[in-house]
Amino acid sequence: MNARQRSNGRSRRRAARIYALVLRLYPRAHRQAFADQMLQAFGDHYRDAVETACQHAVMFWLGVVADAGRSLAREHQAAVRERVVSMRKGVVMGWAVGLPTTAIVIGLALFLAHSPAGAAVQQPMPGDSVGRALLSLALFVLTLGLYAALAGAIVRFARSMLQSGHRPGWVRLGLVLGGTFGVYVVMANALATFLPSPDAAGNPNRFLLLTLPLLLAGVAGMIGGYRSGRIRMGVGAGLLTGVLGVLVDQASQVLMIVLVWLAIQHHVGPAGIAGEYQRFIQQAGHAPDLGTYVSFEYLQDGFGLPITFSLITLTLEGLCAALGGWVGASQRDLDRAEHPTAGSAVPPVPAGRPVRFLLGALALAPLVWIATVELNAVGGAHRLLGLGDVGNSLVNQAFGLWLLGLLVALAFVLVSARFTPVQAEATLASG
Amino acid sequence: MKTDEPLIPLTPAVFYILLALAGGDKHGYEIMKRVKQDSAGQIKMGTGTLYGSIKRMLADGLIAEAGERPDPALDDERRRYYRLTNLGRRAFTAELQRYAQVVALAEQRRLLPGLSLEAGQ
Repeated sequence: MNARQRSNGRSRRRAARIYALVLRLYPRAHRQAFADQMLQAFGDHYRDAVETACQHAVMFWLGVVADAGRSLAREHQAAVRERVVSMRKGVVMGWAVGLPTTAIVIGLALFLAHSPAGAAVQQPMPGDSVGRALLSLALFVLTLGLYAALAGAIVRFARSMLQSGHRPGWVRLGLVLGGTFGVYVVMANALATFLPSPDAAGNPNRFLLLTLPLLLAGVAGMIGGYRSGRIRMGVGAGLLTGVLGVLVDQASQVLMIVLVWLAIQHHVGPAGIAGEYQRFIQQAGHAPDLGTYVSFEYLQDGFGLPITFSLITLTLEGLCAALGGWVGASQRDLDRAEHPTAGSAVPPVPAGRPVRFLLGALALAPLVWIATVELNAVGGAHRLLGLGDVGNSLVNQAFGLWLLGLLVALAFVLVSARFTPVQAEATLASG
Repeated sequence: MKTDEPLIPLTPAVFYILLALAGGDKHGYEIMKRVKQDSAGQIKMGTGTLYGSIKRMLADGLIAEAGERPDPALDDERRRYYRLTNLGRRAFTAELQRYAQVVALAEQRRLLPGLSLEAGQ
């Protein structure tokens, strides 16, 4: 190796080091994919241009700088565009995951505020009536904003699913089951408004209103998870069911209030909602502390109670839907393992499963009932029921009526979801 | 990331890279040299521009990394070779046909006096 070759080798290595620094300016993904190749091509280019063709190094570097300037701008532009696209996907997922999580936190916080634990830590609320009214308005707007955001997230989620080519079976499922629950709550609200309200302990409607949305969300999640094999599809179906039910519930309550408003104003109409609102209006002389405020200004005013109740319900529905989606998707995996020929389509449902589904629901029903009455007692009377009270509630005729309502709802689920072996085969064939 | 732009018409850089690879698998610097040669020096591609184009063409499925090296014994094993994909070949052919149609049209309208397709063949 002569002196000229040694000199060339040194200058080439120096040039490569400088170009390696230039490469650091490229976006990371581009660098990781091509930096080694670019460095090698640069070395070849330098050798041919400067060492062999004797191009002046300054001219060579001018060309390199011009090329690097152009390509750096273009690669960073492409990287930003890519980040924006992935950010959009992230935003959709963020909405789908973050909002239910936010709802869970707020729901639990409100639930705790309304529980014995919340009552124990109540502190006097500072401020005058204007301040309380502003806070009330802020809470109302916040709650409505949460609803709007959640609805927006679900719409975006649905749109992204539809655009990604997935069959929108879970949308139909959510609409059917949510509509079913909606019809039920309209009837229940109408009965509660226009008919004398029976005692809470003997009123199966009250418990069905507590139970059904959770149940339907869980079942919708399970079927959605089973049909798609994805838990998030199940969550989508369950949440759509819940949101639709809640929206119909809210709308029907507002409608009922409007219908009985005259009666409320004139202190007549001892029935259901009208009577309750009349009692709320007549509440006076309460201490201006936070607990009273939450109870009477927010939780129990015309909009606050249904909104808060719906928020808590939606939160729990999200959990039930996720659990159902997980069970459904897992079951699908098991069924697919038994029927490998099904491929990516919905595997055939074993013949006995719908019957087992109903029997399982019947077996779990007492537990669901107990959980419901306990929740109801904690939310309403701020106390847990003892074993004796729970036992008595299980022999109450309300339990029988509730069980009947539950079975009717489950039967409707089986029909509307077409969760039968024959229909599943048809789905397999058409899918 | 797959680009959204329609493949035809091809940009000059993409066209000349496809033209270079139509003659066989090549690594980056070989492509650079061939492009400069084929375009009679009109397209001078630096390393940055070349690998930016390669990245987009890989994403669009016009080219792919070649599985086999033309001569593994004589070459640096760190080099990556690229080849035309079926899509790349179809796009290249379609672009050539488009050029041919444009030239034929120009000739038909006598926009290119003294130049004919036959003369060029």
